[in-house]
Amino acid sequence: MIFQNPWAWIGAAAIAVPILVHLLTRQRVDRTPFPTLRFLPVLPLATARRHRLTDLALLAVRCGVLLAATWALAQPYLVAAARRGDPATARAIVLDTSASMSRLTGSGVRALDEARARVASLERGPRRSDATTTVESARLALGVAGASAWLDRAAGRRELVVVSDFQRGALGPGELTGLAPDITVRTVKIDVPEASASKAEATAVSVGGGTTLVPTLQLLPDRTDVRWTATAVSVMTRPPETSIQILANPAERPYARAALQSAWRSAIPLSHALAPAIAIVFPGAPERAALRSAGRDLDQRWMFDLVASIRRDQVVARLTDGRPFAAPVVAMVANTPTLLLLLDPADRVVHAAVIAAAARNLVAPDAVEELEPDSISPGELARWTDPRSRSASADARRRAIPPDASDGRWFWGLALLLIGVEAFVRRRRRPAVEPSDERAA
Amino acid sequence: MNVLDSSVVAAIDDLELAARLVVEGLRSGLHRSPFHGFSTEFSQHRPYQTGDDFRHLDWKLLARTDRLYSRQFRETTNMSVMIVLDSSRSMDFPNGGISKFRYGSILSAALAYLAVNGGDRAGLMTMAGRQLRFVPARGGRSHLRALLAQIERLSPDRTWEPARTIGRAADLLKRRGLVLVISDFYDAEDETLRELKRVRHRGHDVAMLHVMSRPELTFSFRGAREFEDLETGGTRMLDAPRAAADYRAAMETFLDRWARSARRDGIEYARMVTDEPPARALRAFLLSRRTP
Repeated sequence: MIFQNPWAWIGAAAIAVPILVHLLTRQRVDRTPFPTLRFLPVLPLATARRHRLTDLALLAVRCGVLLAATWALAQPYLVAAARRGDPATARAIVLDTSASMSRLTGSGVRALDEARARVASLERGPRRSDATTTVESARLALGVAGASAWLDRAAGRRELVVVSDFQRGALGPGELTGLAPDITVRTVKIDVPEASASKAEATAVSVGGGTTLVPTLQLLPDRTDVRWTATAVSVMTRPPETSIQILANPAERPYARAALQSAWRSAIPLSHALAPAIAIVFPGAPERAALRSAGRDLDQRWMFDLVASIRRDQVVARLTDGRPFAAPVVAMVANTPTLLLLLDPADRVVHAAVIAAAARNLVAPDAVEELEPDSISPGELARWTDPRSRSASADARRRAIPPDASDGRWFWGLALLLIGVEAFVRRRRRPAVEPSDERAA
Repeated sequence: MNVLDSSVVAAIDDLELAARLVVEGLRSGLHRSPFHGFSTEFSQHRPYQTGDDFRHLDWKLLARTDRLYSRQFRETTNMSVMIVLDSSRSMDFPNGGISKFRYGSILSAALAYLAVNGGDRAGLMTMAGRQLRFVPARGGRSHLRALLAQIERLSPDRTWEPARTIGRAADLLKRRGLVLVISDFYDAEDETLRELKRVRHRGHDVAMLHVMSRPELTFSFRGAREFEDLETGGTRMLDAPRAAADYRAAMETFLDRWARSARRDGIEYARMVTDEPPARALRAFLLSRRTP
């Protein structure tokens, strides 16, 4: 329980008044001389005990009246579990989906998967009535900005939760200072052992004839090893596990491999479950004609963005006249809508440039840096985050209380009830009357 | 009949004056000694005259002589009345107003006054501490004053032995007289009743004036109280309203028991409450003595 007017508790000293009154005016049993006790029934202890109990009961009731009134004046606000999850609480969760989150945690689970589990539990929240939104972003700063914009439109209690491995450079104190003062900030760090090696699957290369080359990148602190694995599964039937597929015939395989390796040097496209699917189709790819005939116009913004960014790429722009590939279409590849970049039968260097440009624009440009194993220490993280987020301080809780909210009315009602009880108990203790007053006419 | 309220009478310090006022209040209708009536001695026969009481006709003589004769009785003008006054502590109740002892004292004084002024003799027997105090039954105004003075010197003290006091009072009556006991009769009920019966069987008239106060009859106390026995000092704490019903029932049984026992054994019994004017109470008692 929070007291919005704690100074009112000084009034509790008034409880000393009924105690003093009780001690000074405690009813004493009068002694009455009587001719004989022969006819008096034996009811000694219960009577005396009844009056002693009545006195104490009266004292307790009077103290209770003062206590209830003081409690009410202190403007209590009961922060119950139901209220902690007050419908007015808005929670924005920022999930880091950057490349570093693909690393494995100490339990062997991918950091991103563990983060999603944490987000799921946060979304469930202490109360169903919590308003919660989750922002997934590879750039934490952008995610925080988006979450802040959402929280600006929310009412009542507001909370920002950031779930990340907090790679150095991913988030700085500057991104948090711009938040409104009443927004509580919490950080949920996904711990990834710094010295562990990370594995990442990169884009598979389909070289036609039912063969797919899958490169596996092992990122170590001092180097990156790439190992290629060939699988004999048609890319047309196997669901794409990678962002970029390269469709080529066996004669074009060397060029495709070389172009892909060139692309790795400038960017390392990593697997993202939500990453869009694109296919770079060499002129000799056996599936080209069928895919082209079945293709449709682009219909998603990222597709236009990617095409535009590739065409604007400096290397591509210098090698071509701005048209490195034919009109792109969207076609179903293994039941997945896929953006097709149809390479024209032209200079194979252009092909490599397109592949590299696609890789660069599809993934975060600083993917290598994202794989940097150095993360923000917990102590430093704690200094960045708002101190209010460490625990629900009294100030924060008080600010979270709606202006007119107070449970004092219940204690005023209790005080009134106790006043009635006091009057009832006091009436039962009628003073004795001298027998001379009772003389009959 | 103008009778004075008991509180007024009790306020009169002079007991003789108070007694006289009481007697004057009850004298109407009492043309002759109230202590006489059926307690008389046969004197002689005389021829029946119109107006004679038929109860006094001697029927045996009528059968023998065929003539009507009335019996004449000699009034015992020097009837001895021994007043036994309870001066135990239980009589010193209630605190406010007229106590039973004061009321009894006034009754004693009034009865003595009535007796002596009616030509009878009056005496007093009481117990102070554990000692008997008595004034022999005599007549005359000087004796009356001495007797009243003795009553005035009395004050309730401790307990008493009613059987012993009553028995001694009867012993001091040289001839057949009236033993009049004024008490609340709380002490030694069985012994007291036995002694009263014994005195009755010895030929004396016995009368009980059972003096009670209104508060101990109604028990209208309120709240929790600690009652202290005036004679024993014992205490009992209880809730008076809760105890009232049981108390009144026990008191009623006590009073009824005495009344029945007295009637059964030929003892005159009168209950007198201290808030009743003494003259009225005495008058009722004395008139009831007339009725056989």
